Amino acid sequence: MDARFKSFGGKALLPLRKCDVDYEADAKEWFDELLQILSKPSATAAQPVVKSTTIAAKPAGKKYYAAKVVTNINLNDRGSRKQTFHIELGTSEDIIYEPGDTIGIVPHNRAEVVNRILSLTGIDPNTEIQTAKVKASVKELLTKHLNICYLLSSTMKKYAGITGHEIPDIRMDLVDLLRIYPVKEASQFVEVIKTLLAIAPRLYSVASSPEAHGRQEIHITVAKDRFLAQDEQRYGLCSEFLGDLVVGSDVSFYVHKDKHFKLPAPEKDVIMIGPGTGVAPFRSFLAHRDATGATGRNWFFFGEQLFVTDFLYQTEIQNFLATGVLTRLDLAFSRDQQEKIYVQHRMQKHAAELYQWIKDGASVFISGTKDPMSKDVENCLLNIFKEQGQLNDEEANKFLETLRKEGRYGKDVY
Amino acid sequence: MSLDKKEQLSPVERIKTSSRGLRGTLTESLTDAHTGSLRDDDQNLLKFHGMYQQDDRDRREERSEKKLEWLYSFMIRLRLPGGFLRADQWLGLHHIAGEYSTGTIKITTRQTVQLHGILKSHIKPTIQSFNTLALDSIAACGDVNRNVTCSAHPGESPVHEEVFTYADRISSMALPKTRAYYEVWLDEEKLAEHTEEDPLYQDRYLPRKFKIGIAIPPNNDVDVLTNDVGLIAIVENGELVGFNIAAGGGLSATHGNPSTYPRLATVLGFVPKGDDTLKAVYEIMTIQRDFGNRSDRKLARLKYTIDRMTVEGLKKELEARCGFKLQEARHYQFTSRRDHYGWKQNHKGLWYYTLFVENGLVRDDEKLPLKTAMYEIAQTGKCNFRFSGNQNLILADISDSDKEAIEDLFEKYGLGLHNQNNSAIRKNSIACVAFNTCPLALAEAQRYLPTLITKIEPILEKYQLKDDEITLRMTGCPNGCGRSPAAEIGLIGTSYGFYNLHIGGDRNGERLNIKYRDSLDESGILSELDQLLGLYASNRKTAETFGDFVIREKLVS
Ligand SMILES: Cc1cc2nc3c(=O)[nH]c(=O)nc-3n(C[C@H](O)[C@H](O)[C@H](O)COP(=O)(O)OP(=O)(O)OC[C@H]3O[C@@H](n4cnc5c(N)ncnc54)[C@H](O)[C@@H]3O)c2cc1C
Ligand code: HEM
Ligand code: SF4
Repeated sequence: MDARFKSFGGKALLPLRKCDVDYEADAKEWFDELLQILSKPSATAAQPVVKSTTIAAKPAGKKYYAAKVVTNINLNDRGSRKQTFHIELGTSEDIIYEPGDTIGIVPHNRAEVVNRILSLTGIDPNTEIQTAKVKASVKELLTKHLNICYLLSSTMKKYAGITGHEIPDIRMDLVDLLRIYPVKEASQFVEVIKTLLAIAPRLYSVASSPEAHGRQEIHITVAKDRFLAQDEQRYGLCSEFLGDLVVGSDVSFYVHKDKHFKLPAPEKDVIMIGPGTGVAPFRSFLAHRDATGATGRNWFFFGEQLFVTDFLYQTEIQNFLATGVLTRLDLAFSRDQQEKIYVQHRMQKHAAELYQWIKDGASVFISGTKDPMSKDVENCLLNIFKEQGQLNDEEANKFLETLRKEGRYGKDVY
Repeated sequence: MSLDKKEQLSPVERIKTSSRGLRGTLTESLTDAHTGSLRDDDQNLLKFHGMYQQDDRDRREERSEKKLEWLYSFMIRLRLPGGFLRADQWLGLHHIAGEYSTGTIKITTRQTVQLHGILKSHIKPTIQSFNTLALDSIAACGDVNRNVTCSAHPGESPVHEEVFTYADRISSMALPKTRAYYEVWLDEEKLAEHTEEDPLYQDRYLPRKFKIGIAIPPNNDVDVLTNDVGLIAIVENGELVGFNIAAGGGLSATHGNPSTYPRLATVLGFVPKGDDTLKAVYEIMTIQRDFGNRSDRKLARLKYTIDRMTVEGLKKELEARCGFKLQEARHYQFTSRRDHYGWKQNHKGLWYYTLFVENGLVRDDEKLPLKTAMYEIAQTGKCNFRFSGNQNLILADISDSDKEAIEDLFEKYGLGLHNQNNSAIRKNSIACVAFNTCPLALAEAQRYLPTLITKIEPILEKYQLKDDEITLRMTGCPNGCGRSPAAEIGLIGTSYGFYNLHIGGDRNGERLNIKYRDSLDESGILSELDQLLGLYASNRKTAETFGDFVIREKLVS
């Protein structure tokens, strides 16, 4: 960062001080000095250098890669309640990424929904409109740029203002809004369009490793998001969009770096807890450690609903086990038996060994859904610390905090 | 005289001898949570416990694409000497099939039942449930004596009850002595670290599977001569006096391996009933144990051992081991090999109803809710269940006063009509399992034969042969599980959709068929059969069977 600042012409107020694990004393000293300098009114504050950016449509600093879908398969077998897609994206340039990163993808809105909106409003699909960020035809805007799903209440209010309808304070999809509270004419809809926000990119954990899969390919694992709205089975926008992509489709994505979810040194042990799509970064980790011949031990906890249909990447995981890349594997299939078994039950079962691994320097990573999985797993870890290390609540929390600070505890949860 | 040098032993031999009494690492295999499969060696040992590991071959490609392993599941086969279940056991079987397997109860050609599609994690619960019904699957597969078959129909002979006890006694005599089954599947505690002594099997078991069947002439419903050891009951003055003992039957062959061939058992002589019978059977097993080929499993059945040591050689060795001589074989005659459908009463006045079960599959389908019907019949508690070697079901031991209640249920489910509505050829046909679960299948059998028969029926109709009891058997490969070499018409799979056509077997199971045409597809089969059956209809002698006709006419030789 220091070098980067310098390259932009930044001047150091204080000399760089490098710290390691035991940084607290150094940091305090450095901060005290810094505060002293800053509190002096005569501070030599440099003029901020504002570089104007020309790429308007894309958030600054994000590099978008143009890719084609190379593979798209549903990993769940017939009879499963789930759909989880293994998607491989191919590029013609090298992708700069590492295991533990995520990629961002902006989904398109579904064609039939866009068409429905066009017919409800009677607007000419080719009408060119300039929004805050882009200029394009209505149809293109509605398909590729603007969010029409589950509008924020602030957007709902603006809609009410433009159309003059009394609308309760709820969120809904634009198409439903147009159906229930129609716009008067196409020109009114143009106003509405200008209030719509950009489609937010969705993040997906990278499931591949450049060392193992090459640099012009990146893999993700996408669970089709299902939910009920107005008593109707609906699907999440991006996950459905990705699941439906046929081989050969164009997609663009950017790489989002995650510094806190990175493999430790090759000789260090790693404990990975990744049920469901949480498997994605660990497929990347294991492939990477396999390809680079890392000597550290690897322990993976995976869980899903049914062994027969939902064991994501089963054959690859079996290979990692057979070749010894995977030292230990513990599985929890919640619906294979009467009582529900989850990954935290497996962790608890092997509490002593798990604790020993951590004491011996292992890093712990959690990936997958935030609620309730990552919380249950974190509580389970704290419990294990308390039981195995004879710690009280505070000490256990502190131990976890230490791991986090040392870069030995990472979460990729959503 | 053993030919095998240590280094030539087949790999399975090592697995057996190092298995610590068939235990191997089965317990560990069961706890390997990452796979639905067992470890390689354990897959072999599992057979000795009455199970086969299989996978759904229809699903291999799709599952591999999904990065899922093949869809492994297990087939379990019960040990039911002579094929007998009480009504309460049938009810239990019905529930177990529903809970842990595909739901279909398959009656096999060896008078037992199989359940398919059991997941690894469900094996123990399945076996534990069977155990509560006093049923087990010990030695139902593997290089040991398999389920002992016995003429099924108690109504056909007053000595049936006595002969039937031999199936049980032989089965018990030939059980492996190891407690492995109880330890692995039923969590019995291992009492000592040593492995049990087994004077019959020692630590190497037999070189290959071993089958024993018992027939009561004049019916050969068990196809007695297709067994390694066949016992033919000799009845004189209404009393069972003993058995003609035959050895060396076995139907399997391998395409393109001329040193393999199907063979019918050779009658060696007569032994009086009682301990001598058991002793003779036992010593044939020890001879096979000591002289059988342990390096090439394709040449390991008793039939090859006998052909190597000659029938005379075997007899000499057997007499030496028994300490008595075999007597001259007694006269017997087989006049049929079929099940006699419908009601029949035995000498004690009990009633028996033989029900046609196509391919032995007891399940509910659009045509017939067979499984539900059997369940309801079992619920009355008024009958026992027997299985025939032709894969049919006999509702047995029904008293005069209960007969009507059972008939009412037949009425309710249309079972009586079912027997009548099926043609003679359908009722005299057998097909093996083949696709989608048999790993050795080259072509379809049980899933396809019913459709093929529907296309053969009009041909028979055309030549007025529809009541002719021609035997037709199809297997998905030359292993002959459906006894295809011992039929008047045998169809043996060569590749997907193609079958060798064999003809010329006799109707009663005393002459094998001979290959007539290679690798026919369906239209080829139908046109060849049209031609042959046309010739048969116009040129046959009175009461001449199709199998005898084609031999007399020298259509095959
Ligand atoms: C760091 C990170 C890593 C991730 N890694 C992965 C990964 O590896 N694999 C993966 O599958 N996902 C991953 N995700 C999650 C992913 O980014 C998306 O959130 C997920 O795919 C759902 O997006 P969607 O567009 O399909 O659903 P959306 O359309 O965004 O819907 C999401 C939720 O919003 C609500 N909602 C939407 N519309 C309505 C409506 N009309 N009425 C009521 N409620 C509504 C529902 O609760 C729904 O479940 C990750 C997220 C993060 C932050
Ligand atoms: C002008 C000064 C700074 C800039 C521009 C800056 C920038 C950033 C950025 C961009 C990140 C996110 C990195 C990522 O998520 O990949 C970050 C994280 C972080 N920064 Fe700074 N930072 C500055 C100063 C500081 C200072 C003074 C501290 C105090 C020691 C600090 C401590 C942290 C920490 C602890 C994180 C990690 C937070 C987390 O857990 O995600 N930063 N910083
Ligand atoms: S005959 Fe062949 S295909 Fe049929 S069940 Fe036996 S081994 Fe399988």
